[in-house]
Amino acid sequence: MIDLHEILTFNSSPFMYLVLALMAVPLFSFFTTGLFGKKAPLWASFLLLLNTGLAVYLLLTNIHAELQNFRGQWFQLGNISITLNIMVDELMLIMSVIVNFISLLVHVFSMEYMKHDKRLSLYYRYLGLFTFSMMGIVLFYDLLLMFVFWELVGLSSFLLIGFWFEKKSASLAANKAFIMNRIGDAGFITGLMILFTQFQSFDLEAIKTLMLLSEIEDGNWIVHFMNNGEQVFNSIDGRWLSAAGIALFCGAVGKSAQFPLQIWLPDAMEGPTPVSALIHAATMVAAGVFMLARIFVILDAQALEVVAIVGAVTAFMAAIAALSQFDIKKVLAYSTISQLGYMVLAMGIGAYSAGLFHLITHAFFKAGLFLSAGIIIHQLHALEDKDVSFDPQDMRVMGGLRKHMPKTFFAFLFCALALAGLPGFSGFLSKDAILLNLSAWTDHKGGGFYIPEVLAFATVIFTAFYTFRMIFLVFFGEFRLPSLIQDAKLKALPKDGNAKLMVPALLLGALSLSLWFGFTLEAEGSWLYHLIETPVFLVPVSYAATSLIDIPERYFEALHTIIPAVSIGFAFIGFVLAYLAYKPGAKLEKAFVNRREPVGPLGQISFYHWYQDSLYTKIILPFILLLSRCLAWFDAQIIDRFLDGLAKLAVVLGHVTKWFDKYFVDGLVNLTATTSGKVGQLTRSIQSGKVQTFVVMSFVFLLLILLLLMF
Amino acid sequence: MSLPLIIFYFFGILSAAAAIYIALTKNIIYVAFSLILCFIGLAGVFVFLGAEFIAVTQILVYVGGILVLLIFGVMLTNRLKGEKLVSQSRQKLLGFLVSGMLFYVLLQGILAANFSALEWMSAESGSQTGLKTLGMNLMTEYVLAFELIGLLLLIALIGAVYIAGNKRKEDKHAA
Amino acid sequence: MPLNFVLFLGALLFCAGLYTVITKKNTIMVLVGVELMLNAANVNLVAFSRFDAVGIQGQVFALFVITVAAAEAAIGLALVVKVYQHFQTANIDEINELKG
Repeated sequence: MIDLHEILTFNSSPFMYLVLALMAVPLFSFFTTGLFGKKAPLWASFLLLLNTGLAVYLLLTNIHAELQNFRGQWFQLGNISITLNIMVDELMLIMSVIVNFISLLVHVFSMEYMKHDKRLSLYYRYLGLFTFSMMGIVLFYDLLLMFVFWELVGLSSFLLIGFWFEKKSASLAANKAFIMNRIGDAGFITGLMILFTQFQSFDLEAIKTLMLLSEIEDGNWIVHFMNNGEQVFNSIDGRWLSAAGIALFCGAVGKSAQFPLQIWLPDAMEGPTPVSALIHAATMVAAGVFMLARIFVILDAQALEVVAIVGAVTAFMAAIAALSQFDIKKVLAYSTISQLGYMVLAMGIGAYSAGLFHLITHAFFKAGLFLSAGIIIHQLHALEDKDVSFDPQDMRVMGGLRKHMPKTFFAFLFCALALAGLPGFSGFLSKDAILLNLSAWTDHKGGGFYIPEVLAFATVIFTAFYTFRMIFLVFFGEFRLPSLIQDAKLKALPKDGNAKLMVPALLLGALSLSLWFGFTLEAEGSWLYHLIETPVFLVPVSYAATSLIDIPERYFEALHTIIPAVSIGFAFIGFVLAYLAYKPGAKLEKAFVNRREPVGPLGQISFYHWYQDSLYTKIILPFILLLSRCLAWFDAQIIDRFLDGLAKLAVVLGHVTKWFDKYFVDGLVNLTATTSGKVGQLTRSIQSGKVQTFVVMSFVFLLLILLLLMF
Repeated sequence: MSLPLIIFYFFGILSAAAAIYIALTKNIIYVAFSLILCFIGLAGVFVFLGAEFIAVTQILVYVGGILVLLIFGVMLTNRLKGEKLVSQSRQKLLGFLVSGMLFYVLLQGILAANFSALEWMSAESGSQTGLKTLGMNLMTEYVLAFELIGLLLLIALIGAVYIAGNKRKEDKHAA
Repeated sequence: MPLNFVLFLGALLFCAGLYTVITKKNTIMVLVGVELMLNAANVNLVAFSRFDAVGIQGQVFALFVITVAAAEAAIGLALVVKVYQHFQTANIDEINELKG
């Protein structure tokens, strides 16, 4: 029988400190950036550059090395030792490069974008805190610590979304994001508790080892192991296994903005745009998917089905919502939710590699899109003055920017083509891998499981549609702003930003090309795809999902040619529809510009994101308010009454004890005092105050003693 | 009975008689002079017990020092008007009972304790002079005690002077 | 020299001193009694000192006792003088400030 302490061996090496430096440098940045005043952006960016270099170095030197992990004791609770575990595996190495790289680009970009902000150094400190927290999630191979940093990420995102807290909407959005994340985290912590009850450890390695040893017998989930020489035998209902997986997934639902908690992400666009690029596109929302990847092998079939369905529904709903937005950042926000839905769907169907591959490619092109959008917003914002006032995020004021901002156009275009999933761009590879695996999964599962596939493929069309709609509205046709502000005159036309703005965006645009990931049209041909191997499920066999590796090859054979074709075809359909509707001079485009509200019930549903917000405010909120009122009533009427009664009882009891105290206890005390007083008076009379009497007495007693001794 | 023994007994009985007289008389001056007799008798006894140095010290300190102090004390605390200096006694019966009983008990103790049976009693050194030994012991083994007792004496003398002396400052304040 | 005689002498001196201390009213007489008692102790010390030829500890002790007696007499008489100045009496009966 295996002993938990044999799994949890402590080991460390000097190399560990190098890995820990990945966390320490951003933390150092958080603490010291405030000291540099105007130079804060430079200092923070310099530190991040160092950290990115370190991450790249670690990736290059360790990618093919054996897995290493470092473990130490955190604290001991009786027999249970809580450990710190850092795992150096390819997932961690790749993620740390991506987090640091995109964080670095955002640092550089923010130098220009935020340069007039009065709390500039605070902003950079928050960025440092965020990078630190994210690195914590990536580094620690331990659910408890992952949860700790998970919460820290939640905190830093709260701080950054609400960075312009003077704006009511920004602080409300920050609250919303925080609360939605809390709901998910409640699930996360429930999952933690279930796993901890069963395995007495938060260490993922221990959990995985013991999960492999656990069995299902008569519907009971049994695990039998030693903990520090003591036998542990845990047996609980088998449904808890699924419950644990689903509960942990709830955490990912909150963080990765999945249905039904995804409504915080569009509102989070109130934060500065570089923050949106960093947090709400590339890294923080990726934390949920990353966490799913970490716990992937301990999810059972049922939990995975829930994951897949939630992912598909989210992808579809968000794609619909992106169709009719006015705000360029809102479109990007919904597209982020939609792409995250793809990743979660991939995890759910067991396409671990495809999901993570999409996570990586998406991180680049979505950050690029946000940064390009940031440039546009920044340059348009610069045109505003006391006469001219407009919303620089509104696509209705843009148009024709291709001529004015050609570099931005190319950066945006490359990223957008990756988002739409056109061949030659990274998004195509990863999305294709997901769709391919999804089709095989559907064929294999049969039954009602075609729904995710239908939703996913429909989303391909919608994605292409809203992407090209955005490109047409923003970059083609005529610049619409001058005609919207008839009386005032613009002081200049928008133009490309300076190097600090352009370099990050162009870099990310270039990274959206698929050739960096392999000179291929299929994910199978990408080096990155092969680096991330799909692990084998560890849950007891009767509960395990069919791994994609175990799906017979024949399900895939035909798909290899069909799926890319279908995918490209669907994307093309989306493009054509967008072209017909929104090409310069088209009817819809003209109507759109003058429209205040979306038309028709479908448009309304899309614009208001399926009325999910109103649903929550109109139905769930009153319900919760009613519940809290009931609880308040219960509190006031029952608990308080009870407490009042107790207090009154205590008062009565107090009177009784007072009486007792007065007549019995005090009486006794007085009696003692009087007695000793009387005795004192008695003995006092013996004291004559005459020295000779003392002498006589002492000798009398001496004599008595001597006589006693003699006789 | 040899002559030294007779002289020894004489001295012993002399001091005993003087002590009893002190206890019984009322006249303070008589007490003072009986005390001289008593101390001289004791000094004689000490000589025969081989403690010449103690005997000399006894005469020097008691007869020469303490007794003079006593007499001065008497003078300072009584109004001398040519009358006899008389000290009243009281609780005579009680005093007699306590001291008598104590004497009886001590006698019983001395008689009951068979000293000659003790082993170290056989090492009687007779009447040899122990002056050198005493000096050596005082300067070697008991030197700390010796120094301390000297210090004590000094402190006592200073204290006595301080207590008995007039406190002029207080007087000034009183005035 | 007969040991018992010396011891009897010591006992007698002690008891005479005790009687003096108990019965006399005059403070100085009380001090005289105390001196007698101290001498009684000395007699015993010196008597037994004969059996300790090497250390003669009894004599050493007796010497210390004499010194302490001298100190005691000095302090005692100083106190008597002071008390007399304060209470205008050397009568020990009248000094009963310690009366309970």
